Amino acid sequence: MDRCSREAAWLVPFVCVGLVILALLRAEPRFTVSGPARTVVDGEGLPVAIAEPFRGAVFTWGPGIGAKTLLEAARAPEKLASVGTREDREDFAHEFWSRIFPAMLEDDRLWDEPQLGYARGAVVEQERALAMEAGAFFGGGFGPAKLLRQLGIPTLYFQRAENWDDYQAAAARLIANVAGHPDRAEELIAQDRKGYAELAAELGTVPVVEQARVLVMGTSSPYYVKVVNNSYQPYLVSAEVRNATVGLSGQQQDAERILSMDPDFIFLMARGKSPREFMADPLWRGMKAVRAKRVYRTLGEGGGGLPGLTDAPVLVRWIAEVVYPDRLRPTMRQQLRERYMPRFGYRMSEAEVDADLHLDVNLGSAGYERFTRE
Amino acid sequence: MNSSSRGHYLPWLLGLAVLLGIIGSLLIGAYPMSFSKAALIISHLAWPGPLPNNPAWDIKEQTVVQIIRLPRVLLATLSGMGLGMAGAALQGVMRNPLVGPDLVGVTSGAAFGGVLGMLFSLSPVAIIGTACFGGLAAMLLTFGLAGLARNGGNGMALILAGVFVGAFFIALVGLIQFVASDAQLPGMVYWLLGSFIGADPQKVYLAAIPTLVGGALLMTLRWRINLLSLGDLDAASLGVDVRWLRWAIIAIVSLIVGAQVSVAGVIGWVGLVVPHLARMLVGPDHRRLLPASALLGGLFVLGLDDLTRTVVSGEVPVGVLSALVGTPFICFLFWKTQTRGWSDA
Repeated sequence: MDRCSREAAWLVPFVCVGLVILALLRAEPRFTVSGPARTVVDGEGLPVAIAEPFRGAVFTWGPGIGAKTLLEAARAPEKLASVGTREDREDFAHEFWSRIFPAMLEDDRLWDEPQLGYARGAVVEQERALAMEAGAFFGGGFGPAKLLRQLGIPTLYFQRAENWDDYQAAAARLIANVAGHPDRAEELIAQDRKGYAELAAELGTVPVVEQARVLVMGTSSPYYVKVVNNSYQPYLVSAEVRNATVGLSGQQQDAERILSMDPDFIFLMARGKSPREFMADPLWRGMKAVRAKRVYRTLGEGGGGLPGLTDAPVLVRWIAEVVYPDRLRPTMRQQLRERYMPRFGYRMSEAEVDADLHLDVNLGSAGYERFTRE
Repeated sequence: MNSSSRGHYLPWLLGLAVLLGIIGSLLIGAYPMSFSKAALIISHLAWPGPLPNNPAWDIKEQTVVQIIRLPRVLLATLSGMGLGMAGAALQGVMRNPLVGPDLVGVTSGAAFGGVLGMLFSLSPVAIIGTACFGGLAAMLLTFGLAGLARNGGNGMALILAGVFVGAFFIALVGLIQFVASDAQLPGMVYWLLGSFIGADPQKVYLAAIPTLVGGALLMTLRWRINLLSLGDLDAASLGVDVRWLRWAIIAIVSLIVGAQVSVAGVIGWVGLVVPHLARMLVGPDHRRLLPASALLGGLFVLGLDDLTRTVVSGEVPVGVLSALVGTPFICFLFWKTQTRGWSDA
């Protein structure tokens, strides 16, 4: 009997854990928006009630859309409930957005909370998300957003789209609508479409056989390359160039494959070797692009990253001007300088334009003198 | 306390420690909430009646305890219990203290299934399904490969087959990471590192059913595992169908580990380290070693998860912490047993 009870004693903890699991069967708490509210339909067609006055937006991990998209689409930093961590604040201080909206850097309220684990995975920081006092959360079908929506907290998902620009345009409309400035998103989208249309009219149609073969790549081994199924591909198509990686899959490639591609032009990612260092490397000397000095650091602070809607047509024009200098007027400096004027009233200085063009490292490359100050 | 009275009280002490561990873990977290308020919510959750209409807490606080912490704490406990018990059972049937659940290939197979689901952007529930399916596929491959060996029922053949199958699936995991997009890769890497973030009731049920049912089956087989640890010939002479028993235990272990990986990613070392701790506490008799390993495993993983969500700034994956703690421990055991033998550990 004693032995039996001793053996049975080992089972008791398992039964207890089993009983604790039953607590999960309790009905979930449900949030409801009380008081005045307005309804916004999100990217998945779901109506979401948002309390008035709006208490600000928070962006969660996953969709690739963040606080900067709200700034670009709605020009309303006061509609943000949180932006990020102290480290994010330091990074933001080096970006041009901090020059357009300098008051944001002084607003401690925006930088007290973590940016909901953007870099660490899909489902982090649920407790922190709940601790935030926000009017609406943006996200996708995973991460904290999924839980927040499940609980009835105003959470809006973005609409899926074929390419990055269309996705951003839909996201801009949704964000600006939530922020109460839907007209501002339309202005942004119109500016984006106009930029593409003007470029297409000036560039004309480049016959496929005459299109240059272009490679966008990083400079550390294994070499990161922008393959055809990368979100960057539509920009190459709009610039009427061919992606030299056609036929390859996988974003990491070895030097031999890159040598075998032998592109006409190489665009290096912003962080990495400079074009001068790249061209001096004996490994690459045999390449057509290196022999012709057609290696450039890609336009912009985060060159090679996905641009916002304001920057996208300018980036495409820059690629086209580098590759087809005879087809386009040299208006790049003016385009860069003026791009934030219509919507933000911010004119970039000549030094800022130089920095965006990476003149310090690109001037040794073929034809780049067309981008220097007059 | 002599060994007899210790044996009498130990199940109660370990059980109490697990329950206190669960309650204590529900009290702590990133959300700013007092212990007393959390304790009040826990007491109301434990009470079978309906919750009050106007509770003394904020709805967010109830959400944190009920929807975020409770599934996470239970998932960590169940995963630790499953891995600890699986490791003890495997070490018993293989008569090898260096065997862990990772060695039968299930972990790698489940990892492959999970990342495959992520590559095709499947829903979280579907990803759990593909991970579980991957674990089962790896187990069947391991069994099939071992069956091709001349002495398929031999433990070494199964282990070798598990190593081969595991290596194959690890390569497939690498291939998927290679072709994954920039947006998919961080999520995959984080999941593979092992974590209980994002635990929900579905995941708890998925871990609980194989762990508790498989655990119960292992408990009914624990006397036979004792016989098996005498050696195949001695066990067979005592009427044990050695081949059937070994395969049955490995199948149960595979199910438990496959379910755990599918819901929480790869959490290594627990199945290897915890049985050694339990052996120090209750000795090599599997009647006590199996449940003790389960309870210690639950406590061990729960403690690591508490550490990562409170003390450590940022969510360090539990799989990383378990390796950081497990490696020095197993090195210490290795050093200690060089002169005394593993059985004395």
